Amino acid sequence: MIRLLNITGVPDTNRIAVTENRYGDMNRLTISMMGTNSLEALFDPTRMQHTTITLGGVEPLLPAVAHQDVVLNTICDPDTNATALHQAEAFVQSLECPIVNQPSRLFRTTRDATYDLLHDLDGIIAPQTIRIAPRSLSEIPEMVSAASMSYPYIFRSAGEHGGKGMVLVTSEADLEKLERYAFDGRDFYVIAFNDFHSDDRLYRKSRLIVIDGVVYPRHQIITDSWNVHAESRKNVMEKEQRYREEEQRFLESPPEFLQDYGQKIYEKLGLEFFGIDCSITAANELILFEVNACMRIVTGGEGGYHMPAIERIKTALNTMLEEKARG
Amino acid sequence: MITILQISAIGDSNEILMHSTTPDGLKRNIEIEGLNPLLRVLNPARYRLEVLLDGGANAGVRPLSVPQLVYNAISEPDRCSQALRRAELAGKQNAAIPVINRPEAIRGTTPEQLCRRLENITELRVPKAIRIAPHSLRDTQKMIESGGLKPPLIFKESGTAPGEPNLFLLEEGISWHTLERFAFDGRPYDVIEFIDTRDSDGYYRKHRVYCIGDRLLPGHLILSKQWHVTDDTTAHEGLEGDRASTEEEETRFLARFDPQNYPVLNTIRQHMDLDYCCIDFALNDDQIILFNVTAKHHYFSAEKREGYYSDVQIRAFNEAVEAMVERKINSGGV
Repeated sequence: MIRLLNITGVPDTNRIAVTENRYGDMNRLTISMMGTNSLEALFDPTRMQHTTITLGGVEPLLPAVAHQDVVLNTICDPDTNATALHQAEAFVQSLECPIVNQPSRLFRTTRDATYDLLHDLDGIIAPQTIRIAPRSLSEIPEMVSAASMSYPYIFRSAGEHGGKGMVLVTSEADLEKLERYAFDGRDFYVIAFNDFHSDDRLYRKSRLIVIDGVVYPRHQIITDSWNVHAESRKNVMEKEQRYREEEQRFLESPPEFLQDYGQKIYEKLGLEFFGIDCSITAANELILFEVNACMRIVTGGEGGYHMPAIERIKTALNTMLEEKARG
Repeated sequence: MITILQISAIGDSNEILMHSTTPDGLKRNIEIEGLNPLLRVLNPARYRLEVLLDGGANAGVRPLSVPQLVYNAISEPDRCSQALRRAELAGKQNAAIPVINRPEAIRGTTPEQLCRRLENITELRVPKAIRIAPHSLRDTQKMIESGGLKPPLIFKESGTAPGEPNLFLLEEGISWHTLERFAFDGRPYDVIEFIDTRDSDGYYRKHRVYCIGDRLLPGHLILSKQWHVTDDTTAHEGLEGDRASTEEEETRFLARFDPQNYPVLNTIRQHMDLDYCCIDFALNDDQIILFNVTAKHHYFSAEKREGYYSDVQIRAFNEAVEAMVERKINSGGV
């Protein structure tokens, strides 16, 4: 039995979400924290005893903890949880045990940083991504062209994940759509849009989890729109069995070249646990959508043919933690 | 033993503030902004206070016992609209139980509702205010103009977290494009006429009076060089040299306040139909210019330095709370 220290962190807003309030008692609330990827559901209690600590907050403390065999940092989003990540950086320096997902390396996973880091890799198409902080709508075209980018591009707030809250800007006429955002100095991403539909006009987004350099497929969503997220399953997959079968085949026997891509990205990022959201082209290239440690493995609604894939990820994570703990 | 149920709420966003952790990092010290300590002064040998925290994603919690009195401490009609709606419904289903600060009355404390409720009080000037939910800058400008407002005006996102107001003073002659700092995605904003209340000596003066039951008690007078006064510390920035004289004026207000000199405050209290609230205002040639009426503040605010209130003043606050509670219990429900 190994002792695992699980590090979580509060977002820079110092606000945490209440997901359940069953008793009306402030001491018995169920909470979740944006920018932390809760992996607790994956820990195998027969192999490890875990302790979870929280960093950040209005008056953050560096906690004093008993000796641990291995530390897992699950603070995953440098756009929303930078303060807690910096605190984690300082905290782990005082520990004498292996650290999984070194906090300092998480800063390599912002969308613009992953573009800078990965766009030169063979076979990997990382759409150009810039970070901007406009103070008005009229500044945006100038900022975009200064980076030698042009239409079409995706515009989204920094620190947001999933398919909601982003806009596809195809021409100047679409700029008005951006008035939904607050231009008060906060950061946004401008991401070159690669139309990634397959020959059948459908869009396929795959999620790969990379654990210690080994790739494990988590899902493949097939849908009829470029904006692919969990709810997109309703559009095509829930209606037609053949697309669910296609996903199942992908999970059971993913293309072998994915391992090579996963390994290359792993070497660049230096993270023991992260995910890749991508599309696989007909030429066996990988179009990257995002690469970070925030990918959720268990969402609560899983069942059926996804379970073996989740079990493989769970086993790999526990084995990796055990191996790190034992040196 | 009299059981009092205090209903507080997490905001509609389901978010709470994390302050720090225990030294081992295991337990989080959280802060719920709506937990007003108003009734903590009551004698525990006579009153049993139960606090029920509503709101959050899975809301609709029920009290364990039937109380003799309910204190609705949900005081932010925009930020806690869902919990306030549930409290309102519960109040209707339990009409025999008296309530301090009925949820319906709390709804009247948004800038727009304040304007509607109080604009006909002749001795009072209430800034005109409208509520808009635009989807573009063009929408915004149209809505403001058709609401009869023009710069200078205060543009404020409705229902932001306490201490984090998202507001902007749009001055006359400034481009409307400066409002692009706000998100026009259909969320609500309050647009409020800006009345420059700066006195001839260059100070803005914000007075606060607490209404507790039928009593009016002075809360503070803050002198500042800034028009937007959020708390004592920031209000006093830049006053270092003048602080002794401004402090003396503030202390004088607390010591000499006589509600008979401000009859309109009582009229406001009656129109608002709140048992507990505070009124923030400025004085201009003896006319009261209203800033706000809200039930969210408490006289034991952390920002008030030790000794800000005298023992006599604290006793007056506490006695007013006890008297309000007694009177409510004896009044029965609606």
